Amino acid sequence: MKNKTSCLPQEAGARPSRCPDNSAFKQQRLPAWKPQLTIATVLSSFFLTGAFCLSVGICLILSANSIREFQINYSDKCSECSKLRENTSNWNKECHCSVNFTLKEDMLGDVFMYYGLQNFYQNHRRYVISRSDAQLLGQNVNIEKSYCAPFTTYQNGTPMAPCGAIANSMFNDTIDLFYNLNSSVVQVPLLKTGNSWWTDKNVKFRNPKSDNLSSAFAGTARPPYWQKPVYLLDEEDERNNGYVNDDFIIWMRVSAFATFRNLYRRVERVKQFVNGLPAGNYTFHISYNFPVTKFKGRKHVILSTVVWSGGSNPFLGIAYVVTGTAATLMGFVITAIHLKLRKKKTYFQK
Amino acid sequence: AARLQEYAGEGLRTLVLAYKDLEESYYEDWAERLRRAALGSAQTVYDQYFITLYNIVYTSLPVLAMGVFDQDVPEQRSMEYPKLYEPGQLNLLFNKREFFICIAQGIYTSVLMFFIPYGVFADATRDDGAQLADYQSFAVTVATSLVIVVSVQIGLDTGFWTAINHFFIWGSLAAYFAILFAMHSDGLFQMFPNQFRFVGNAQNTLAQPTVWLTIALTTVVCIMPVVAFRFLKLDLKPELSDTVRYTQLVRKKQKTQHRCMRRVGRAGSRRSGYAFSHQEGFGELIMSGKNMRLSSL
Repeated sequence: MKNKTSCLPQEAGARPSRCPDNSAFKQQRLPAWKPQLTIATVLSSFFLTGAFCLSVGICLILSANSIREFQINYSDKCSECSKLRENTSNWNKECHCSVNFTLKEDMLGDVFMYYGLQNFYQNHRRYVISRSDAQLLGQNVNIEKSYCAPFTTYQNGTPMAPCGAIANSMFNDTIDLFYNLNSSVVQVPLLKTGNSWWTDKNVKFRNPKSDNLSSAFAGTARPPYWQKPVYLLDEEDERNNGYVNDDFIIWMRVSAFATFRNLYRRVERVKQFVNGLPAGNYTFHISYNFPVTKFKGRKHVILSTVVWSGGSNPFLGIAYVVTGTAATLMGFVITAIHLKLRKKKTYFQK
Repeated sequence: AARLQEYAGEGLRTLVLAYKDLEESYYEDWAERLRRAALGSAQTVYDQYFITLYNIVYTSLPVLAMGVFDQDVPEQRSMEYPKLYEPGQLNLLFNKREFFICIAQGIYTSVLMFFIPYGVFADATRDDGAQLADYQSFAVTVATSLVIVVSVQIGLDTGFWTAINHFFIWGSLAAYFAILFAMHSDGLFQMFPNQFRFVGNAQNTLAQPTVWLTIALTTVVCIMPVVAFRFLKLDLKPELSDTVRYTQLVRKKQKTQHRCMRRVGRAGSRRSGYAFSHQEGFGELIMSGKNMRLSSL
């Protein structure tokens, strides 16, 4: 038991007091707000929350329903190409595939084209770390020290640019969209830039500095699964070439789940496509390179419009409606319990 | 008596710390299990710095402030109603049952905190058309909702808001966002590109309405049952300290003078509210009004 000194004021000459100061802080006399759960606050918060959640939920469901989406699985449809790609010695053989489809309704507004992968685990622990962000900044780093292994250097010592498993497995199918107008076929104009985050394009990925992009990457080689080196990813647009290529940047932003979609192209709103994609017959011409059959994966192309709340997933809207209903119900239940079962709230008289 | 107070104060603090830590560890546990079941590899969702900072910075200070400053009844009342000391002695506030209730709540919250964002992100797009469900955006969403839910929970638990409690709780939230934006900033990335790989994430992800709606939903769903249970418990089985507090409220409303009990010259005694005891058996007696006189307590 600690020695409790009395905290009465000491006479002169006595031992110094061990008591803490008589300040508001040390004597726990600080002013404070003491909220209590009263029936009014609780009920009003439940009903308000319920109303808010219900209204937000309904808004979300309505906006999700207003989205037009079209999805087609082309790895199943392009079975000859799938079979060809199962054998890796066919890597330099091209394979083209055409998939026809019909849009029953116009897709008004901005239309986005995605490629979707299923059963591809970009979130695998060792896959996610298999990259060298310093190299992707254009710095001259020793990639042997990074987590890129085994995709770091070739046997003859040439380093890979970019290194790592994520870069190596980059999606390399080419998808074009054609519109059948009367008897002629029009290629739908697609935008390949402006699809990645500004910070990714301008901060996270930078090309090594040099006058000429190919000399900047001198002394390096393409990753083993790529068909062309990184400085030939987009020969038409210098600002989309090398590490800052939009498709590359989007692929490097790994997905959280095994089934995901990445933005591939946007429909350019010109000519007949000023308002979006009109209804009609369309064809995808796909240059099929990415093999998925070995791991039972699937590939899709998705065309979709967007709204402020994102895509067509109704989960959030439904969850909000459910929560709103639950909150309102709970409010009623609490009211009922309170009225029937409570004990009379007493307090101490003087 | 002082030792009793310290013990009970510790008990409460441990309880709250347990909840806060359980949140995170159960979340990690569930996330690992889901991943192993679905993927076959154990990848954590959070960025390593978040995990460290969560325990040290974001959630430790409000808990400490609560443990130190909490007063569920003011000190004058503690002298009037010595029965309030009983539950501390009877180990009623911090025992296995309470601990397991805490664990159950932690499991519930951590399950929701993973599966609600998972359901939203499984097929999500940003408002500019790009993909929302990338790894880092998912991590930022879940981490933010975790910090917010735990802060709201400690706010609910804090019955006595001194200025310091306010500062610590709001300050923790502010610190979380400040550190988040700092770690995802360009400057740190350019200095250490391999360490701060989340560059650009905070500003890009937290600008999405879907992300905030997800965080709000998770918060509502995690907190609502807690409020309901607490209120019902207060209403149906009020404890002596609750009655004492209600008395305060009533007296304040009536504006009667009730400083009957001057503080005895024990200026040195430190008060921790959770020294006061709660036992339902005597609550009946008191509530029936038979035992109202000061002297018979």
